[in-house]
Amino acid sequence: MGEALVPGAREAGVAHFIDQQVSVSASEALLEARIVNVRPPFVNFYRGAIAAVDKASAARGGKRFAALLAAEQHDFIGQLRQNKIDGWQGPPAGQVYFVLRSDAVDVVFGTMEGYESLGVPYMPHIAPDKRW
Amino acid sequence: MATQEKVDVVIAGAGASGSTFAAVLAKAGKKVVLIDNGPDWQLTDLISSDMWGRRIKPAGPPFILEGKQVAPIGYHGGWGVGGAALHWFANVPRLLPNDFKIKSEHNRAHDWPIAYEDVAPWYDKVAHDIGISGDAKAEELWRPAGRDYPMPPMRTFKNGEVWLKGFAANNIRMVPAAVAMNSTDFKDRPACIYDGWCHVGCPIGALANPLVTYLGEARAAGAEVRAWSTVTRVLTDASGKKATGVEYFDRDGEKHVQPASVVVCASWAAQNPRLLLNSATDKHPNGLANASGLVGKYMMTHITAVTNAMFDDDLEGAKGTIGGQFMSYERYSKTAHKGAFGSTLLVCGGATKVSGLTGIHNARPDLFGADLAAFMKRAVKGFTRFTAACEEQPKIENRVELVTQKDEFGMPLARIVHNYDDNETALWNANFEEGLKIAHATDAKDVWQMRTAMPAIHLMGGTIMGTGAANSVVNSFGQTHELPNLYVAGPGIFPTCGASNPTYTVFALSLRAAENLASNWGAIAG
Repeated sequence: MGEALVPGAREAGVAHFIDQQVSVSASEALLEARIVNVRPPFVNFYRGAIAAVDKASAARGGKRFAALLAAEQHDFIGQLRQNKIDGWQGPPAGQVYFVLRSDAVDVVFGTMEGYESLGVPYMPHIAPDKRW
Repeated sequence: MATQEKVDVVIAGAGASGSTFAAVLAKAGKKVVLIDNGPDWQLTDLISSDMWGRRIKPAGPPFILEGKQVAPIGYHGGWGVGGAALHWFANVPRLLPNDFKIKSEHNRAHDWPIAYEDVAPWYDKVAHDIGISGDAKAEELWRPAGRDYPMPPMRTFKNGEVWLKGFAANNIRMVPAAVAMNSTDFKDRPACIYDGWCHVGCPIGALANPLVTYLGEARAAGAEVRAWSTVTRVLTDASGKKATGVEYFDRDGEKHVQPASVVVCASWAAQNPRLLLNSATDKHPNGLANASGLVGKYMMTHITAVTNAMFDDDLEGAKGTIGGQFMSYERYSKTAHKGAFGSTLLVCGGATKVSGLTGIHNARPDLFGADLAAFMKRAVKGFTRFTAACEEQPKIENRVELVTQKDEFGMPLARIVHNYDDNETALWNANFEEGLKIAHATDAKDVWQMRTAMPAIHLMGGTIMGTGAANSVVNSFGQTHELPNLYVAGPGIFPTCGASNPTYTVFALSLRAAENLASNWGAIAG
């Protein structure tokens, strides 16, 4: 879903980012989830979100989210954002949208490389020695 | 369980208020211990990155959030030594005289037991202690005269300057924003370099975080900081009339008792009532200092009405500081907006980074996919916004209370219930309406607002001050009415919250209280 939320997220490593961050302790995690009141362990939120997305996607059209056409994915995310998916079972849909979108923004735009891609000077006091 | 050697003062929480108490009392020769539940952050930990900056914020704080507008925790909360003031925006507007007497003047909410004039000298003293840049004379449009700030205003940038035309067209006078940042070298700290990373911590100390101000002074005077240690109870003597110390758990889960002559609860505004409620004894069956039943009550937040705009110019929005460039008390009267009650503070010109909660992408949270990518490319040049910060009136239903679920130390979690009412909605909407008028009077090409959810920022209240135990938890020094050697510090003691960012007032009240304690040590500490 990251790629559908922010183009370039797959190549920027959004799956690795989330996998790696849910494997460390909550106090060390760099995830937006910690800012928006998701209770640790954060892996539970992501597991619940993925399961709910695929279940809702299958209920709507018989296919998991990853198997949807790009236009279908866009429509699904639009419904997810507005909490309008019938029978949604999982973490609050709006929160799922917000957190996953933030994760994708982080890896695509929030790194030094991401700033450079937008033509924005990064200007660090102390530069991160790795992306995450 | 280990019992530590008795000290003069034990302080739960090493943030803005705890650091201030520690500095004053350590310099007065008292043996001071600060206990904080997170890491002992150093300036070198403050990495310029929204992702890495999340490490200095809470992860799973022990609160359950309920209500339509849930209390702010993750973004605004602190975790570790320095507390939330390690990543504060350093905007330092002060409360105004009308904030202290709402009951007298409008028959609403509460009066403070003190007046503006009681706090004003401490605002001035803090300004010269920690370093504030601004134009005090210009602020005297709206407040009584006081001392000048020690530094001139900060530099301004296009992302703030473009709003001035719109404010002027609506007869709103803007003045340089007062910020706790260095426009020039100050004491042994350098001037700001305007890179806009203030919100993840300023490692050069140009922004007045506790590590380079009061906490640094406290440590130099001999105060000890115990990081990774969580206070779970305030202990009292058999009579129930005196605090004797605190119980805490270290990083290894070992339980300790720290005896002390004076106890200061200086944790987050919701954690202080949680701690007092969990310290119940047979003499205080409803929690310490809770004869009034008001511990945990009257939690308040500020509401923000943000107006966004896109300009054709390159505003270089990532530069500057996260604090404002210009501010105005022009709408600070409690009745400034027809049909709504409460003050509004106007601020414009904060730097906007690419990601993070306040990042550009969240100016249009409805966009994703190619639409978001296109917006980002345009917004990094032309986007800016201004904020109207609005006052919430205290409501007893907005509260902190213990629940049965417990944390890893066996301490009950707490529930924070928070809702706005129709008045706050009216104030929010009035500011949106005026925001549109202001924005449309600028050269902006696009103007928009997000009215989908009312924000709640700056948690305050819960241990409010007043004239006695019948109407409050503490007096104006934060001293509990029932146990004179037990203090509460921080924004939790505000009985009303105005519309100004709270931390400057936290510093001022803490400095006032700590110096009073030091001056009356024998009578209070016994």
